[in-house]
Amino acid sequence: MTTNQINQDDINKAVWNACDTFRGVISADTYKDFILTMLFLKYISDVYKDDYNKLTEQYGDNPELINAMMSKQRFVLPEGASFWDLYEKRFEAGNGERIDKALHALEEANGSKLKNVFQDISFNTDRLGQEKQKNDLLRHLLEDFGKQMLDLSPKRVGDLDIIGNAYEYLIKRFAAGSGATAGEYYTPPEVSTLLATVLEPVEGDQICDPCTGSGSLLLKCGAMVRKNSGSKKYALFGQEAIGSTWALAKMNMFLHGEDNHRIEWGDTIRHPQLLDKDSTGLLHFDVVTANPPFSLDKWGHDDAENDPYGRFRRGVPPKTKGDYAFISHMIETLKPETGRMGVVVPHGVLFRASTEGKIRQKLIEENLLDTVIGLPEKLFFGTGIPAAILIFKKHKTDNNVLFIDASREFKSGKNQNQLTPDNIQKIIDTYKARKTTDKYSYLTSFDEIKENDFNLNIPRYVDTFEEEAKIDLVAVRTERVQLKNELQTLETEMEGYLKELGYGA
Amino acid sequence: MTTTLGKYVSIGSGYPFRGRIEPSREGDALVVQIRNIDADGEILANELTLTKLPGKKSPDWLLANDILFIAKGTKNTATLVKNLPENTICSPHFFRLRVKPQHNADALAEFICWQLNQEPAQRYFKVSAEGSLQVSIRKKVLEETPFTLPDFETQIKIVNLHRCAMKEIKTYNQLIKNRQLEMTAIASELLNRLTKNA
Repeated sequence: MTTNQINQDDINKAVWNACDTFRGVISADTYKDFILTMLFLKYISDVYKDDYNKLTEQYGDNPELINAMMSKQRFVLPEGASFWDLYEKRFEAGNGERIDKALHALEEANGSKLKNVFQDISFNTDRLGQEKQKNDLLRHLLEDFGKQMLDLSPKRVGDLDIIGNAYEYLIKRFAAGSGATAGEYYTPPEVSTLLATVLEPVEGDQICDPCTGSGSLLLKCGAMVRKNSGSKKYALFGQEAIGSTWALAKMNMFLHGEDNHRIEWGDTIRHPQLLDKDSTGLLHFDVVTANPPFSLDKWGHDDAENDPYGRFRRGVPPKTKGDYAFISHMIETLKPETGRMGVVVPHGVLFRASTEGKIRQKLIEENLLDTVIGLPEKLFFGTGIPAAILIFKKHKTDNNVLFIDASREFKSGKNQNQLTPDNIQKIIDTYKARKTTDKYSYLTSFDEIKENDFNLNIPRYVDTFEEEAKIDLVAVRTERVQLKNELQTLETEMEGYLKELGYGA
Repeated sequence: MTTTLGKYVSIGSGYPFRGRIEPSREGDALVVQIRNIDADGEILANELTLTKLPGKKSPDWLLANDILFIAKGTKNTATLVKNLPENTICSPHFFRLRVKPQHNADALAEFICWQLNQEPAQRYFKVSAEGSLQVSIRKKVLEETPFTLPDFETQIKIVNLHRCAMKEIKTYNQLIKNRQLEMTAIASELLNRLTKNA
């Protein structure tokens, strides 16, 4: 095997195979954290080793100078905390403890960069079994990652994307396999691509995802800036409520080379963390996008009435459905001029009445809603329901709303449907054209929405019914007589055959 | 006289595709798959997949009067090949049955096909199907299907009777559709009349 070239599929396969060590011992949504953390540790260790070797080549045998130079690298790896140190000692007892200590040391040595990232993960846990089993498991894990195939040093991998992609690949595989919990941290890639394309993030934008999950939507937006403007001048912000998922997002960012990010840990509705300098107001962004949990129960209704940031001034969403809480929060974090936002919602958001209806009406009256895109069913992990994307803009050029019914064009799969690149392109083209097209999109005016009582149910606007032909009742009657005659003839004919076969009456 | 199916027909397998059958515009063969067979057991000739065959060996093309037997899954039915394009093959989910040359004069393919779809043969398949994830009929099992071959005249009569019966089903379905159409027409006319008066 050559050590120079590496290909994405091989590396994906290698990391996926490493999971075999855990399979059957603990469930997928538990071991995903171990695997992903190990991949991260392996990556920084390999980069570190590579850099160290380069410096040694350059400056020869001068450990002091080299160590001084190394402390200025992207990540600082303290003595004994590298993957290779752990690998060396893999046959000794206490693998779990050693790994935990190494992660802790790594966190300490890198200041705020990795603060708390490893706090939720412990390799020295009884979940991996009794002492001996645990030690064996972890030895296997170290060996899996120690394979030549998974040498992640820059000289072999080249750019960062391969590792980032492998990380995303794992997240996706775990999401596909872990059923109900998966939607919590992963938006299907086609949907995030669609959102990132439609929102058109450009150079200098501040981009935020208040329900970050594993961060893939933010990363897509970042990549879109690089594609649109060829620039790395943008900032990613995020907030995620679940500690282990937050850690996942942080690692995901680093593995994609997005060191310039600010992702906070905490409940977006109850305790928004992305605040201005005096911690009195919310930060504002150019692009806000999220795939919030669908109709979250117990989202924090009790405190919403007295929200210090006034996010629920249009109305407090119902206790058991958090959809409009997230939408309200996102709207309030938009910059006044450039602010644009894309949010994935269940269809109920489009038509539910009561408080939600009132909030919806206000949003439309303020001319914030720009586009409604209906997506196919079975697109998301963990739920089969069809979702929709709402696009809001702070500074709209007209007071129309575009409806796109993309729900009928997809590649169907057994458990999961998919949007093909063609499907996505059609949505984007229609969005950009902002025109009514037959059975696919409809540009409606404010008055028409008002006539519909601010109900945004897509079929009200995009008519997908086939024109029914005028039925000629006379022709129908004639056909009936004809068919009856045919039956009579058949009956006689069959009678004849039956008689010949000896079954006659 | 009851014998077994294997006495009258030779049984071959479908084309051994590995994995998915990829459609290709420059393909050289049409493939009959299970989904191309409609509820009445007819092959939907317009919906066959055009694909490129990997092998160099010329495959065993389907001929008129071949019988396709669905071997995989719980619905083991037989279908008669009528007029398909020359370069057509079937997927490995089928067995291809062909009347042995020595029986060309006394065995009618359409009759054989009919008998395989009748209750006694179907019951035999039901008890003989094996498999854990997906049940299937093995070639040997198919060969040993109990089978009766009456004289040629009788075969023709039964086949004719069967054709009439199929036509009867179609006509009845058309009648049902016809009535539905009538109802739709009445309903929309009623609605139109009411809106005009309102």
